[in-house]
Amino acid sequence: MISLLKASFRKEICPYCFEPFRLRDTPFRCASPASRCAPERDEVRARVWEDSAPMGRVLPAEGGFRREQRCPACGQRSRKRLCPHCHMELPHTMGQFRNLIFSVIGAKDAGKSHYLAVLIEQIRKHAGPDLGMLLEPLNDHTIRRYRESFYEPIFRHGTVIRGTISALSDRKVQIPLVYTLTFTGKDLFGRRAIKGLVTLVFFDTAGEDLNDQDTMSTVNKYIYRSDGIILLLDPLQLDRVRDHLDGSVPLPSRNTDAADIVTRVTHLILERRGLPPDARISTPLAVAFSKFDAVEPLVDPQFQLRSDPDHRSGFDEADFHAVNAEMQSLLAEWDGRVLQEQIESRFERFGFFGLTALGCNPHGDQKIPRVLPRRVEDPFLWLLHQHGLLPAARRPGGR
Amino acid sequence: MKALQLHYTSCRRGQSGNAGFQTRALTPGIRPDEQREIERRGVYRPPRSAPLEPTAEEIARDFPRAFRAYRLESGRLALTRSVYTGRDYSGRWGNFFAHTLVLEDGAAPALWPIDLYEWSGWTDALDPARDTEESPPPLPVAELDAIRPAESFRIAELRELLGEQPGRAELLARMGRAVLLGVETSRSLVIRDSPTNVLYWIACLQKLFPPLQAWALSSSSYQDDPRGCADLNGTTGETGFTFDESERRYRFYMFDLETGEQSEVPGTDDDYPAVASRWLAGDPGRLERFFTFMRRFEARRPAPDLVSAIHLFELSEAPGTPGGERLAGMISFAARYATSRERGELLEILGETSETLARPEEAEMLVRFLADGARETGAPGHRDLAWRAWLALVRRHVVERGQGLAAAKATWSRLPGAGPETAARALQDPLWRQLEPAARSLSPEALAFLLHAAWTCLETLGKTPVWEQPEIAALIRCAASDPAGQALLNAVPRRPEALAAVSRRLAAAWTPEGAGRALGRVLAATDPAAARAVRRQLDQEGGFEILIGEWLEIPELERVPLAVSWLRERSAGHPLSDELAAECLRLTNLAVPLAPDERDGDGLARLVAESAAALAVPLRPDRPLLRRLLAAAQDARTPLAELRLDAVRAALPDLRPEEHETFLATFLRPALDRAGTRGEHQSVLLATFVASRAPVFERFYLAFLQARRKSPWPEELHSALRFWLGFDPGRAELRPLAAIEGAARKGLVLAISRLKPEKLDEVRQNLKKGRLDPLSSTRWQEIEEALAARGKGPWARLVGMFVRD
Repeated sequence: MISLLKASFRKEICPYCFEPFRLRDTPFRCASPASRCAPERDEVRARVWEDSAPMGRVLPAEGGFRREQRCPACGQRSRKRLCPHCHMELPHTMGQFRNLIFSVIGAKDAGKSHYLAVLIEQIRKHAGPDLGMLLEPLNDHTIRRYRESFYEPIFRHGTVIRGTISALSDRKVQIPLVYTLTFTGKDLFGRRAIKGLVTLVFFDTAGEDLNDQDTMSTVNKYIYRSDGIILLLDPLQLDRVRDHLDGSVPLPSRNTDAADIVTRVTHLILERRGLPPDARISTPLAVAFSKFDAVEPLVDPQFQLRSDPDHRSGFDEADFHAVNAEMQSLLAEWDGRVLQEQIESRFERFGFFGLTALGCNPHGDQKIPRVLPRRVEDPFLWLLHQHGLLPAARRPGGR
Repeated sequence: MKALQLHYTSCRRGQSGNAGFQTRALTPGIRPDEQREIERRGVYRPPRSAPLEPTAEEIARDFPRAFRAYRLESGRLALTRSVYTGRDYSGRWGNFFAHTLVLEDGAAPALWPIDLYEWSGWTDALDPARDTEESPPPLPVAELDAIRPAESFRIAELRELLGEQPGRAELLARMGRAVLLGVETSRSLVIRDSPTNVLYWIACLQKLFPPLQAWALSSSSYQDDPRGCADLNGTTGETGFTFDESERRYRFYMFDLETGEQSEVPGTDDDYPAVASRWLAGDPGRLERFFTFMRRFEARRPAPDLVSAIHLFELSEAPGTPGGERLAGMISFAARYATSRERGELLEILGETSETLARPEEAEMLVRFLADGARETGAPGHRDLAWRAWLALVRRHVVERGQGLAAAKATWSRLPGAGPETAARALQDPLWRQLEPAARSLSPEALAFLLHAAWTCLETLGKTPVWEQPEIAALIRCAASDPAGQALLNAVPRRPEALAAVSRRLAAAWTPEGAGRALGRVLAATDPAAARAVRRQLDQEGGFEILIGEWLEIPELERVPLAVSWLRERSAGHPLSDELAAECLRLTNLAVPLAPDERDGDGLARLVAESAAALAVPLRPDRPLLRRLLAAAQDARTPLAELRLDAVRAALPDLRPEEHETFLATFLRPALDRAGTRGEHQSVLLATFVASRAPVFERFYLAFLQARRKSPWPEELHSALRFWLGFDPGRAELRPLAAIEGAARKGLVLAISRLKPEKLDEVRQNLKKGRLDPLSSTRWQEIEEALAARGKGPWARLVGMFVRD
């Protein structure tokens, strides 16, 4: 109850349009079947989302916090809460639990969509059960979109995901995947209990949308509203790596420099949050080298990076520190000092990771014979850890 | 017609300077906001059921081309053809190529959007050899003038398609109806069928409407996302549409030709989609002629009122007698959408219906349309049409059925100005020959309005004098009743000769007095100078009887000036009936001023006195005499006997109260001053006192008693004292004066109280000498007591010290 009261005064962020609002200002949408309450065109939805087909009528906000509202036309009570700015239906957890917005960014072909597809699958099937976390899609849209656009191409058809179209052109891309992450455990009496719940909003970004500041500020508003950013770097874009590999693996086309993307992200966050130019950004930034399987031959076999972390009892901090240091040394070796310097000076909290979502390099035939992900969940778990949602793993010997 | 071009695809280098999905090249002239909108409209997502890694054959078969027509927010029309191309430069699947044409501003294309589907200039893919790191050159402007309509979508081909299976024409009609409903309800039309069939259905739907309307409907031959739907959408296989009951019944109008499930669309046989689809399936030539006919209109949005255009077209092909709502719809459509260039022909088509309309409202609508159109074209023939329609409205509705006057009046002012030819034709209308007897039962307003219309036409033709023309004469004959006559005269232009002439004719058709009274009511609301001019005119033309009628109609006091002038003229030998002369005398008498010093009063008084004598008519009151007596009273040499107190006594009750007051102010004191005896005083009082106006009299009488004089106790005061001491209210003739007795005694006490003691003693002595009767003595005693009481008061003593005479 107290959390609800707080929520009615606190500002929330719409996970669709990223405009802030108060729960007391939210309209509702009539939840009656269309046969009972005639749908009508929602002008706001038509304007913002180009969705002009009739839908449940909008029940305007009446001021004051409400859990539900009665439709004057049909008398039905509705709990479908809408964003006052874009009229998208808000997660029902809004106001009751924390909402965390995680964005996955990176240059074109960095593997963002593949990473997201595999990350969700890994959390659901492996890391989640190990850590007592349950990841569930919040709505039909998330179920459908994840299945059609992410899961089926990779896991059913063994092929790469089609290129993500710019959100400037495709409004569908702007609609995020929304999940709830439930933390389970045992209570004082040893019974299973839900210890916490957080709403997770994942954004898959088209690399094209990170190519200039104006586009970013138009369609990537979520970046400066994010609670965690996963920046994927394609090591195959680094000159030194390309030289080392020297044709031993198929190389992707040259794309935007990751340092340019970090510069734009930094500018966007500073500008939109009204921070001074010399401020350091508090949003945790996970910098992850994707497609690490392709550069494994270039990595010292003794590196912790090549072993598996142990997140079963919590976030494996020791592993993180080791990998973080190793990745920074690799970055320096591969001519990535500028990027490293940029991140260290601009972000308060950051970590470097190495991962592979597919476990193979599909450049060339675009085929994924078998999905063999490694360390995909590391950046995600680190972000949860940064937000205090995941404790550090207990180590034998007291660590 | 020229078009700007834009290519959007995933490429190595385009307008962003980077690789990926972007506008690769465009023609200069496309604005950034247009570019963004085009990029959005060009997105292609394959059907879910399509293979993920298709071969070229599979792409051709399972990935429908998306041909989209829409209007950009900037207002320009655009066409986009999006084609799935498979892999991009990096080998990644999901690429597509969207080629967009932005039509330059200007006239709407004569073709339908679908006719550009087979344009040879469409680009379906980016040549890999040209996908380099070099910046692509701008695209040239595309020339579309020489373009030939797509062979596959000719109306004949579409007719064949509809004929392939029974019920397709009806299905198309339902789809067309859904399109019209969708414009109102935001429910877009979605057709699911094979990619080829979908294209044909889109073509059929576009060609169900004239090109201008077809361009107003956005369309997409392949749509995968319910968001961002066009007005007409085709889809195939599995897409974002669920085709479930909710979508089918409430969100879209869906025609799933793969499963046979369709949204419910109300059916009818005679709306636009029904007729147009019947023609497309059975009489395509007629449909094409209709589309040609539609070039006369600027209706830009498809709407149910297109059926009115169909009716107009049918009327143009075979003149008929439409009526009711159908005609109203046709007129409304023509009025709203007809282009100025083509309006003339529509005026002619609709003008022919003027004699067939059943209701005055329809006739009014037609006249308005014809009148506005005639004003716009300026053609005399169109002016005639408007007039003919108006005359039909008046003849068929106002005169024959006694209805529609408001419509006739409202449209009269909208009729284009009548030239001599139009006026001549208007007067040739049977209306004017049919006026009698039908017009006799018309309302006064209708008669007046007809007179106004006829008058206007006759004046335009220069047929003067207008009142002698048969049309006006007929109307005057029909107006032989009180309200009708007045209404008719009211409609006559306010020119003296016109009003006088019509009044004379009305008098002949009716009665002079009736016409005069009607004229009186009209002149009452006319400028006085103009009214005088009318009367003069009537007088000169021998319309004396009318004038009397008019004179009797106006308020009495306003008649006086005329009465005076007539009385003067009579005295100068002008014939005037005794009865009228007596009435004039009565009114002129009223105009005689009582005050002797008033200008012209003597002449008027003389005229009245002489006329009364000549006519042997008594004057009540005899104002000339009263005026003379007032003058005499002011002359000190005139003895009381010459003041004709008997005549005054007879006349005063007939004076108006204010005149009575004036008379007393001038006459009472001089007359009382002359009254040296008690009897004379009584005579003056009885002559001037009117019981009903006692307070006024009392005021003037007290002024007489209390007035300061050279002599402190003159004879007239003593006469007054003697009269009131001996006043006997028991005597019938004196009884009315009892009303002022109290005031009189008070006045006398005051007058006596001003006297010095020796003078008072003198008064006492005089009274003693006069041998007072007991009643008088008693009254004197009372006066003495009143005097004593006054003298005891401190105030009286103080005043007495200063003001006592």
